[in-house]
Amino acid sequence: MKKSNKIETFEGKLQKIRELTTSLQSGQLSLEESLAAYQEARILLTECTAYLDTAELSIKQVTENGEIVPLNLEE
Amino acid sequence: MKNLWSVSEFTQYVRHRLEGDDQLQQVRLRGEISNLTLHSSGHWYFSLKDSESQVSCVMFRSAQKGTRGYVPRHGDEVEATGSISVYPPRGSYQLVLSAMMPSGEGDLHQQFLILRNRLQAEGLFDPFHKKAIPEFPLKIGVITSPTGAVIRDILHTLRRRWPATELILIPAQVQGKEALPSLLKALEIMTTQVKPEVIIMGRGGGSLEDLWSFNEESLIREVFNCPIPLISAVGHETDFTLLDFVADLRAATPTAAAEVCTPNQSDLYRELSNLSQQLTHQLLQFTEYRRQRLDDLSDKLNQSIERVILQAKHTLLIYGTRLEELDIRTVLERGYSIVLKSGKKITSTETLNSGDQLSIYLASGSLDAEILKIHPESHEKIK
Repeated sequence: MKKSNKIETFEGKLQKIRELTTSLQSGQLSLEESLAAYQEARILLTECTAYLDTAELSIKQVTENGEIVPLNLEE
Repeated sequence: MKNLWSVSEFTQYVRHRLEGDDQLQQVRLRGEISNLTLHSSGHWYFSLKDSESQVSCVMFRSAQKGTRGYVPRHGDEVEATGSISVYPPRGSYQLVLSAMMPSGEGDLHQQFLILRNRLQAEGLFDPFHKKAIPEFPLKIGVITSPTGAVIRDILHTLRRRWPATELILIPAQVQGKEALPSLLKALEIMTTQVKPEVIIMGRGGGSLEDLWSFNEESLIREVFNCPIPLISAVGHETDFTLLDFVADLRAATPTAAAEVCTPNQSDLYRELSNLSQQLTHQLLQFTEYRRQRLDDLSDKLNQSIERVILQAKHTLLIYGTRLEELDIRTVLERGYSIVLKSGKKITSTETLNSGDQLSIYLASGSLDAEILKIHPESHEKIK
């Protein structure tokens, strides 16, 4: 369970892509394994890029009453 | 009566006595600045005075880092440290200063040093205790003034580098009497409720007094016990507080603080693109290699089967020839014979004439014959 949680994060996905690429490079995988690794990495790559593309900074502050509310700074 | 001295001899003697007196080395004086000249050479000349006396002072340019950024103004109350020096051309003495700070800060500075040494001896600043700063934080807590440049610099940096995060500010007083309780409360809310992956605590630069809350022992201890990695961003590059020592990481500026706990988006895009290329390349190389292996195998297979076929053909040929021979013999033994003319097999009368010489082969033996008469029509007598 813990592992699948980790892969949900950008960091986890990026790490997984790095690992898949390295294992592809090793040449130790069978053709089926290689294709599977490639496809998995491709999907993760798309997800990671989309994540960056759509990322939007969320800005909040904790008020005196301990509530968490959006923060608006007059710029 | 002593000998009659020259002025220079006298002055040299006085100089020798004064400058050789250990009590007059590294003197600390408190006084007000007057007759200030900030000389174009970079040296500072002024007098320190109180209600009854004054003493000439010089602070050479090379010593001015001893003010930690403070530049004297006329009328300032200061605490200065220096050694006595006699200037023979004028027969005057002066203090050559090595350090100077606004009055009151001297005590604070002493307190700072004492506290620093004590906490250091206790091990609060040991690198061993430093927690790792996360690389891809999804939640960043900031404790600072909501109106200062710190929060703006951090927001700006996050937008540029790593917008894939949530920033939660807990506004705090960062100066004055309310600062310490305010900072302590903010830290408590961070660790118990907000629970970000990393905390940035900071404010802009200022005097030692302005920054004092960040040297308070209770805050330093709370930060030491804080389970979340904390980055200090107090003041500018030259200001140091005890928070900087106890923090898991000290950033020289708020921008630097936001940079050390975030990846750079453009680096990530580049890495993703590189990985994508590598993947394609690897897969192509992988399939290319196997395709070559297949081609090689196919070639080998073809060669092998060709050899087998060739051999089979050869064998067939041999047996074919033998079979043919066998066939003729059987026919001859059944009473038939072969007629040759000039070595050629004859199957028709068309090319023959009366009187031609023929060779006739029987199952056993052969004979030469001459044609007596030709009957071109077919016959059915022979059976």
